[in-house]
Amino acid sequence: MRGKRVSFLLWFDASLFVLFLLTMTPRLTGLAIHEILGVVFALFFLVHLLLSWQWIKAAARRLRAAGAWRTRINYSLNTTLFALTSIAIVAGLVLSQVVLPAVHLPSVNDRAWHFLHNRMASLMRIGVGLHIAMNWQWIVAAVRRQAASLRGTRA
Amino acid sequence: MTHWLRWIAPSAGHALRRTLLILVAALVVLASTLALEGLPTPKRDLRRNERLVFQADFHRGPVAFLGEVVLIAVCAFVGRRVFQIRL
Repeated sequence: MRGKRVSFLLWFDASLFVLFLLTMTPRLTGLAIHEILGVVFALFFLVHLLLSWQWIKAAARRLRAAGAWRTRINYSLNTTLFALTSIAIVAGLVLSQVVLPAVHLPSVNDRAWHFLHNRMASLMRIGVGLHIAMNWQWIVAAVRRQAASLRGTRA
Repeated sequence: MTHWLRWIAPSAGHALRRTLLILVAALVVLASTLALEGLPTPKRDLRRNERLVFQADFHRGPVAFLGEVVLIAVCAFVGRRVFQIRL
């Protein structure tokens, strides 16, 4: 069962990453798809947090433990990434030209919020890169496990 | 509840409670942002057609996508070197 969970997490996180990359390139998708992908990304981001709930709880307890520097840095990084993502999503919704008007809600193309949306998105790229770096060991182990399981199924 | 739904949360109640907590945390962040930026207002309107600016471009788009991948890969690579240090 644990192997299946790891496999599910790997595929889910890979989908979240691809979704993130596509959302970050509105010049590839166009504005309408960018906004729709942004909403889907917000939902995936929420599920990603729910899937990581046990880690969030355990790490919060470990924060005060002596020598838990890695946990502290990881927690600070993830908290920053959460704040950046939340602001980028809400600012994106405020500026929305497609999604909000489609549900008859007004949107404002405010210059300051536009700047905020772009700045948060830029910082998110760095944050995601560091998040991947922090979890690199887990990613490599999960990919190896998945590859071994696929080889086992074929044999 | 199928098993993959149980991986998200043990029950619907847990999922709802945790979602609410996440939303409250996001609201705290948003409140600080609002305090700094103020409410969005048409007075600061950008006066620009965003749909036109961000039209899908199948020449520059893939290059931009590749640029994103490279940028994140560089951040991950640098981060990995930094985090490899035993903290």
